[in-house]
Amino acid sequence: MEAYERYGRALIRRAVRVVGNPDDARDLVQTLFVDLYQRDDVPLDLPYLYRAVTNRCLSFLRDESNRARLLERNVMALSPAARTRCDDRAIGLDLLTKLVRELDDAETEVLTYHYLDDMTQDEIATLLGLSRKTVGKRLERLRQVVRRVSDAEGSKP
Amino acid sequence: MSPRCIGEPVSWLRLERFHLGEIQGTERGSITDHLAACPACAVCLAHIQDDDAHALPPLSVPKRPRRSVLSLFPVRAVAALGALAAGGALVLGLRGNGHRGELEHARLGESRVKGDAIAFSLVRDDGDRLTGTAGVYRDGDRFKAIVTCPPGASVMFDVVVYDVGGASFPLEPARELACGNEVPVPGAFRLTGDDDETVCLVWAEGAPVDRSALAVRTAREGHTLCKDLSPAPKPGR
Repeated sequence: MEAYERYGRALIRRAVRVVGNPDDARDLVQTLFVDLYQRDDVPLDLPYLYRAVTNRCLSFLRDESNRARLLERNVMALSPAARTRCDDRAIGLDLLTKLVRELDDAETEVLTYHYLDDMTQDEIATLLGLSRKTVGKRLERLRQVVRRVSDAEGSKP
Repeated sequence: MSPRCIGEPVSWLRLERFHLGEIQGTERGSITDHLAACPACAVCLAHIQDDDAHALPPLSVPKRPRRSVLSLFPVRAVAALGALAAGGALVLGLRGNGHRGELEHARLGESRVKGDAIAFSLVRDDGDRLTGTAGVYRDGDRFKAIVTCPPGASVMFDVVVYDVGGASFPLEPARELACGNEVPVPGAFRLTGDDDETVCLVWAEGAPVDRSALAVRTAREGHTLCKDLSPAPKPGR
């Protein structure tokens, strides 16, 4: 239980930032720990657990019923974070749920770390075990997709 | 208007690790300097610090079965699943007083499936665990259902809430659960109001629980584990 007690709150905060709903966030984190404890494999490693929770949150958002439920409830929007970059758009839950349908798993993960977590390319590269160059290429494509999807939303009456 | 970060923001992950004291040395110094100059990032750290004052929801961790127990399970599981096949579904539900006479409660501790194969309890957000057949709830209490079932069994669980208005299903449609000791059923639910309630758990083998059947008839045919919950006395009464 040491990992849960040490990192549980941080991971729930992380899940809330992605899915927006505290109840869902708690369930996602608890389910992760239950699975890890059942496998007797609970690393005392926040970056690892942070990534694991992120992937569970993104899978949760990919589920059509979850997505519809969250949007219907109009839950607390993801960001706009307290800190927005000058060169990037903050993305809300509505836009994120659209993007997860357009992007593959690896791209969605990079998108989340960059746009929601304010990670630098170096941080993302370290977390994902990729080269900085690869992360840069993915971000370049992501910027185009984000621009296209958000512009399409903006042009709707 | 939200303040914008001055320079490169400190990522949420780094802020969390900074807060936990996992970042030391020059990196910690540079973050400290940034926080002193950047109200936006300082607000984020303050949010983390404030949020940490809240209690961490209790985690119910299934016990890992010992090898000797596992070796016994196939025999017991066959017997249990035979009963499940005949019985159909397992329902967790809440019923009002008006229904109590109609429902043959499979009481926890006295009505476990053959071989003691399936049991359940309710865990409240404050960590209080309801293991008996009765308890109290406060308006708005949030519960998770915890199930014990034979490892390897293909069983789907559902939660049904009965009250004076009929049956309701507070969780997402049932999915197959990886059975074991004290496995949380995905999702949680809240009890609201001030009526007496009955909570039951229902299961089906290899197929989803038929909610429509549960909604229009008593769970008499199913394997049902129930708890009667009464509203907690209100202060001053």
